[in-house]
Amino acid sequence: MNKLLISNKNDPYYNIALERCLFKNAADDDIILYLWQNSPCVVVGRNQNILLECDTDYMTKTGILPLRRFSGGGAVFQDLGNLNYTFIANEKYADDEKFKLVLKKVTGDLNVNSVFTGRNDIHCQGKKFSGYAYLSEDQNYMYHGTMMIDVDLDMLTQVLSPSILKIQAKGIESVKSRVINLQQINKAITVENTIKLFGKAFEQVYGPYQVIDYQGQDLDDTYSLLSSSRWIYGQCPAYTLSLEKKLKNALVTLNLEVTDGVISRVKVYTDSLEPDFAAKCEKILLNSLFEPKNILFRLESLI
Amino acid sequence: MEIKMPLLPGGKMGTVGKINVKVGEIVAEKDELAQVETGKGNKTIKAPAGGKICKICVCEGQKIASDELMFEISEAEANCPEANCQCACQEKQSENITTDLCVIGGGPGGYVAAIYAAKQGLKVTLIEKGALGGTCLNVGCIPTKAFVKSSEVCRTIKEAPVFGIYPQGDFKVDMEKIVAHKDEVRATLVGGIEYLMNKNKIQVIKGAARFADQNTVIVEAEKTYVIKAKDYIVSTGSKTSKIPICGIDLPFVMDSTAALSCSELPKSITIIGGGVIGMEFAFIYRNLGVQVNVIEFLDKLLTMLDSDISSEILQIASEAGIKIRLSSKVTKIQPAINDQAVVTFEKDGKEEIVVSDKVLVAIGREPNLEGLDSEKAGLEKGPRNKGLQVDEGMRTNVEHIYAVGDVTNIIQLAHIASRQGLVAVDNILGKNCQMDYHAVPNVIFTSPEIASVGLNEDECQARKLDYVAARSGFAANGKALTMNETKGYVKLIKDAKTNKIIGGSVIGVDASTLIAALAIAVQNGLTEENLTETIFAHPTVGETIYEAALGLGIGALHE
Repeated sequence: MNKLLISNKNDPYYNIALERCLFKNAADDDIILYLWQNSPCVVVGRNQNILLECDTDYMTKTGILPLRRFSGGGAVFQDLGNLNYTFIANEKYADDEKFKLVLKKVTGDLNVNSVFTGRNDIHCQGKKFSGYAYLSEDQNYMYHGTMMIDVDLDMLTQVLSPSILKIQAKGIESVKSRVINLQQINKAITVENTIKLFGKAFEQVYGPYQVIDYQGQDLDDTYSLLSSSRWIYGQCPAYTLSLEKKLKNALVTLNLEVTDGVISRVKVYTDSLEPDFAAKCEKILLNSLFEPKNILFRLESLI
Repeated sequence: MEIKMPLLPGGKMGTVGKINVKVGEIVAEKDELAQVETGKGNKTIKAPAGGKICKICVCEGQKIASDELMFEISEAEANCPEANCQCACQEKQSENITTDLCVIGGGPGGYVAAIYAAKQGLKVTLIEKGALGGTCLNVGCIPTKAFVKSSEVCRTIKEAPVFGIYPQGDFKVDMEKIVAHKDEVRATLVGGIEYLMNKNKIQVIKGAARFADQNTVIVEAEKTYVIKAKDYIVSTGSKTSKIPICGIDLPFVMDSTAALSCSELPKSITIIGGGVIGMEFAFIYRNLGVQVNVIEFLDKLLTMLDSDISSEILQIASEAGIKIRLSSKVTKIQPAINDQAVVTFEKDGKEEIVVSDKVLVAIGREPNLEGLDSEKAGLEKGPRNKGLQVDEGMRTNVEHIYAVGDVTNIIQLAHIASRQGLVAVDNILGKNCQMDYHAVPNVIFTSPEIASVGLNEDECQARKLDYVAARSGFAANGKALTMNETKGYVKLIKDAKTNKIIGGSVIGVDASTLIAALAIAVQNGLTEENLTETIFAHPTVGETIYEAALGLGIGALHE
């Protein structure tokens, strides 16, 4: 059955939880198109290290939310100027070319001259306005991507520059691409008319569809998982990092090894005059969850 | 059994991402073993069958081709879970406890049940991970009432000239002292419960409990306690609800728990949520001289109240200078360059902002099952997967496990938790008791206070009952007038056929005290005549109940 769901919420944790539930519970013969928009957030790939991808200090300051998705690929910044699309189908019926055909019809109707590149991006005028990723699990296949219509590019540039530089990690790093908003190409393009065109193109390619909603028990649990620090910061390959923090009356350099998001080894160097200050710092940090915004706060509390 | 990398289309290489297991770990069928990135896709490698991970042949970040060996799993060792936790268990001492009743959570549901059970001869063990007294005593009812009293004193001083009293010079509000006063009250009460636990020979274990199975609870404290009880009562309470609004983690954003220990008084505050917690804090801060804004998502404040009472408190709050926006959805919180909070919300499709020093998020509380492993005991959850499902006798779906209080998600009130605790213990003792929710009093400590019991008018209409409602205002009451507290009224509702009082509300001075009389009337099915025949002392605010009762029949004498 062909199904269309347009999320009425902008909460990114909710939207990705909903996507996950649609994916998990898709019937054998389902072709689902799910359209959704998130309030400002950074979404990293399944195997990425969020610290390596973005400026977490800037995110805390501006209230941009951190997320980890289930599919692979790189980090993206999103706000309400972006539209996300997701195709879900059984592996037997999933056909990237058909999904791309829907996308080509949408961009064609928007009068955008689009080019699909080898890196799974869609370009116009040599710049990227859409990137996509996929996931296969238990016979189900998901193909999803972003479409930049009027994204805040200043914020995007700021947030996707990592603030912690001295980090050695084995995660998957993003490759930076030059980007463009569809509105820069054609002022008349809005999120609303793009959503309408998605419905139209979906029908042209797959035939009539049914508009659905989803309310399942598993939504709450997936939501909790997605919004937990252990998932966001912990579900990435182990890494070591070194960072300098200025406390009220001391400069500390922290050398950390982080496994499953937990600080597994720590060495602290400091210019503090208090003799056992470094040891105290080490004690408080060891075996605790590594969250960049909390570290400074917890060290301050020692003073 | 060997786990190999599945086929990668086009002979491409993948990259090993997160490895989710360790050598020696026991996995079940379909457990995730690792993630592999292929192009921009992610492939989850799962265990085809249960077993012990003997060998991991890949490492994170490594390139991998199709058919390459990734894991070796020994299926034979699937059923020896001890292998997994040997190191953790051997170092710590453990103590086995056998008891009649194990109560998990020492709030007003749990500790009252524990005392009641102990008094009837049961051997009781109570587990508490924080302080005895729970939310109510530590971060809820009692601490907020200490704040309410401080704020009322402040208001009284400001109003003193009405009574001919002129305080000399400026007075100041010392928030640190207000917090200290609250902590003293709290400490006294916590000490009181500790005394009662000792006196009733209840064993108190400090730590977090989790179910290992239906018959075993484990507490990891300075040693590992393994508790086997004939019956269990789960009274793990509730936790503050969270909403993922942008900026919710900014330093100036507090929840009610943080507000109760915040020792600086802001000049202005924006409260998200116009429910009980939000409105109590709104009046606390307003009476202390703070500029207060309240943003409520629904179209009325305090949704559990009758519409007329909700409108009355809206008007009183507005007159007191509290700025309120209803039907408004907060979309984000941001810091301004001077470190103030900027809250953005949508009302009628338009975006508005409000600026303040602090933000208090008071959107409610939800059942707390964190770390309890209730599924290991096979406990069923309630609707929408929240809390534990119980019947009217507080029984869960597991015969010897009961649940009481906020964790049941029925009514979040301390006095309901306590009563549910008593009902649970009675059922454990074979008395077959049920909860009766038809006369539950509910008090909100705004200024003035609001209290209600039984049915309200909106509920009567929804149930299509034939009812009569009557109101009598405090403006006509001599005692209220002397106190300069003339706002509000008493409202009574009777069943038109039987004349029985089925509900009542009070908004106004001493509502918290007056509601006791109405609760007795509703609980015991007293009629309008029973009230009009009762002599109410003069001059007291209680006379307003009498006047309202007359209003149900011949009409009030003084209106």
